[in-house]
Amino acid sequence: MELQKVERLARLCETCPKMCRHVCTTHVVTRSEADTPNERSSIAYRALLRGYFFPEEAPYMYEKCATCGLCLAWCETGIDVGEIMLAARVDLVNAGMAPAAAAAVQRNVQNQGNPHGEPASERYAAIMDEFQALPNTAEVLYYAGCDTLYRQPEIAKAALKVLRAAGVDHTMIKSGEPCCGEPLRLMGYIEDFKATARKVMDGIAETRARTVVCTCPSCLRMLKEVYREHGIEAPAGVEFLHMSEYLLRLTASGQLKLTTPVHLKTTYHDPCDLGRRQEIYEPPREVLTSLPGIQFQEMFFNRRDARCCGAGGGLAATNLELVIKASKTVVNLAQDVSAEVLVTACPTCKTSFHRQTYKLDDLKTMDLIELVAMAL
Amino acid sequence: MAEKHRSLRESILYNDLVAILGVENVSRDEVERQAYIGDVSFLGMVMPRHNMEVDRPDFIVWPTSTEQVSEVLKAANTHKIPVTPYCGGAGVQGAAVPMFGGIVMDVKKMDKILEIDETNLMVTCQTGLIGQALEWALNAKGYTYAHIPQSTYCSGIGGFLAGHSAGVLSTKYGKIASMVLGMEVVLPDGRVMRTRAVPQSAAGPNLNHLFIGSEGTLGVITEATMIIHPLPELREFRSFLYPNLHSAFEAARKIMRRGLLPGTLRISDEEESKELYKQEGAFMTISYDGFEELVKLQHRETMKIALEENAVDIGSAPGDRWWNRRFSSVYPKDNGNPLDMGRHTLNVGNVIESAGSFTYLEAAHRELRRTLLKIPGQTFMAHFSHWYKTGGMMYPYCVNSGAASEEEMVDRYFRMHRAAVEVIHRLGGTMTHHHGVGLSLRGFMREEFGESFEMLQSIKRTLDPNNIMNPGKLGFDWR
Repeated sequence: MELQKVERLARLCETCPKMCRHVCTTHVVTRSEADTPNERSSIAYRALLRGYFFPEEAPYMYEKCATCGLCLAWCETGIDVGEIMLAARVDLVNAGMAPAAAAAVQRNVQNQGNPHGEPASERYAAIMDEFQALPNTAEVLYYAGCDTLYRQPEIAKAALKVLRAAGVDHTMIKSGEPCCGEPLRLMGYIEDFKATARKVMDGIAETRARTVVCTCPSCLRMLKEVYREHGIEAPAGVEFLHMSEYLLRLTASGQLKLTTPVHLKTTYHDPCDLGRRQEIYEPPREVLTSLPGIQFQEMFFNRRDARCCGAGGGLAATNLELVIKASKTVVNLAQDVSAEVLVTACPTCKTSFHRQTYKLDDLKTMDLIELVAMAL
Repeated sequence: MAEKHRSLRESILYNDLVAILGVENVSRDEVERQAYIGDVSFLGMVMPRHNMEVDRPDFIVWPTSTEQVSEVLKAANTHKIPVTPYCGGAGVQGAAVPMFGGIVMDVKKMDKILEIDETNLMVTCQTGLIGQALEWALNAKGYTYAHIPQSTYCSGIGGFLAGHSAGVLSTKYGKIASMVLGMEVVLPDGRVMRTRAVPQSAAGPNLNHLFIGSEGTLGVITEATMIIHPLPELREFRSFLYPNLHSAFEAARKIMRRGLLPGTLRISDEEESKELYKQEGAFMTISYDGFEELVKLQHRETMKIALEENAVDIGSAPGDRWWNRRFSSVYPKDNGNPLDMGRHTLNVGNVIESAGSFTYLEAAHRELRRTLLKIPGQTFMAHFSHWYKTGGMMYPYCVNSGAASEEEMVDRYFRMHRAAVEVIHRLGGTMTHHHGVGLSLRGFMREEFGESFEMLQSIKRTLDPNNIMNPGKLGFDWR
């Protein structure tokens, strides 16, 4: 079983008195002992010992873990329960026990190139004019990702606007940007994930870009780190950056000038895949606080301790109710510091928070790049 | 994991519970029931992993209000089914193990902070709140409730109260009982009672003390008002190496007698000093917190006492390290964690943290060491903390290995307890300072209380005539 690779982690985790329960995204919402990282590990470990899962255990592997890394952040032993869950999901797929929601994600990526099942033909619908004007090759590739293009296209619009304003030689994958494959990996379809990863790398090679910039931290993590872990290498000499890192370069070199005051009280949410997973904490803050007129205050839980928006680990597909409840935690923290804008740097987080803030008069959610575009 | 056969009676009770709590707050899910079979005690956590069969609870319920707690207890009386209150499940004595199945009542959805009264330094909260969640909420406003047990990340207010717990700063701030002003308790028959949240009262006995430490046998504590403190300006550590355990004890006695108020005062016996600090002698770590002048003054006085007892000043680094890593021993390790019994070794590890006078501590350490080391495969070392003007607590750390079977492990476990409790009682101590009774010590309650146990038992029979509340615990009548 794939779980054999994480046997030590699961075995040790099972003996813990649950020292991360106080931060676990799921447990903080449901309060059930079955929804603690420890119990999820225990379920997986028992399955490993007996050699198979009981059907009633599968939902606990798929619907209860945001793979947010909060448990790992608080674990002195260094156990990442998300890693155990992903191994369990591979075993469940192999055993034909993946839940329908997971199978649907796999089907959607295979058929339409995105996990949401939206038509592949509409991938660039919201940015069609800008997209068509882009060259086939360029120095910088903007990789937008499915969540940005289908759920938060304002982010892509803002990103292209800023790159244009800075005079950056940039493009997107003109032959059609494939999904980064993260949804497949999260659902346990590891071979499909590798296949799509190869397509992405081929797409990057076509553009001859030397720098790939992502607004989605999950896409960035796949392209920069996870593909390599699965033996899929990027074209030689290509570097991968989050948009916040790239913006810092542009402002430092004077290429990007931000002069229009943005009079808003903001706070910043660290996306799990950008913060805990890639330790990119300061660049988004430096960009945000450099905007003219901006006010900024940290939330009580920030950086390594930042709470999860709830939508990690594929939960938006498998357990939306949990995502909605979890995202409220962060929105409440933003309200505690009287922010007018909850800023994040991830389209998935933005979608989660927007479900809460669209109905509020005094708090809205924006991606960092949207604020930067306002300051041009 | 085959679905067990359900009786008509169980189905009726399930629907009664759903009517009270809503379907989302009642579970008979197999996986969920498995998750509530125990706590982190040897009997509740380790033995089930050694294929020792345990009864699973029949239902898990999550009340969200005092009224719901009350209604569930009424239903349990009607059906005469056991109810085991459950919060973090981080107890080490087995108090939250649902020995006879029935209903596990998880109070963690009752986690509201009802008021932080900054003028009068009080916080009122529901008892399902995890300790660290309360501490963070208070820290955000510049306060602390100063109850920091090693389990603060994983255990909750209800467990602290029901288990009569102590945190690492208890020498200064007291155990949970001295932090609580008022409580709301749902009695076993569903009646709701409250005590007044006042600094002190002479209006009869303090009923808080009937329920603190009752381990869910006399009712469900649903709300508490506790003392809070402004966050200290400074917390400073100092460590000393004493030539032997006796001189360290003498120093501790003088420190308390002088009226100094350390947050922590921790002495390791010679074995633990060697094991943890690689030092010959007895290691002491002491901290003071509060405003700067007072902290410095108390450290100066401590230094004088330490020098009188021929201690060597080790500086602040070991204490700082201990504070920063004060929860480390709880995390799983490949070996060495007393709870990490694994499936491939047969160890019995546990502690019997007794308390008594200074005279008691020294004698008990000698005698317990001698007695317990007679048991095959036994190790022994100890530390001392949680001090009072009159004495303190001893925390032996024992690991027993080499038992040939699961049954022998359990037998050795109880043999260790029997031997220890005999020594503790003979020398005039109490068999537990802050871990409670649970399943481990339930058999020794009559010895601990003497004839007065009958009074405690009669209170239990009066309040809980159907014996629904956490049966099998605290030495009360079995089923």
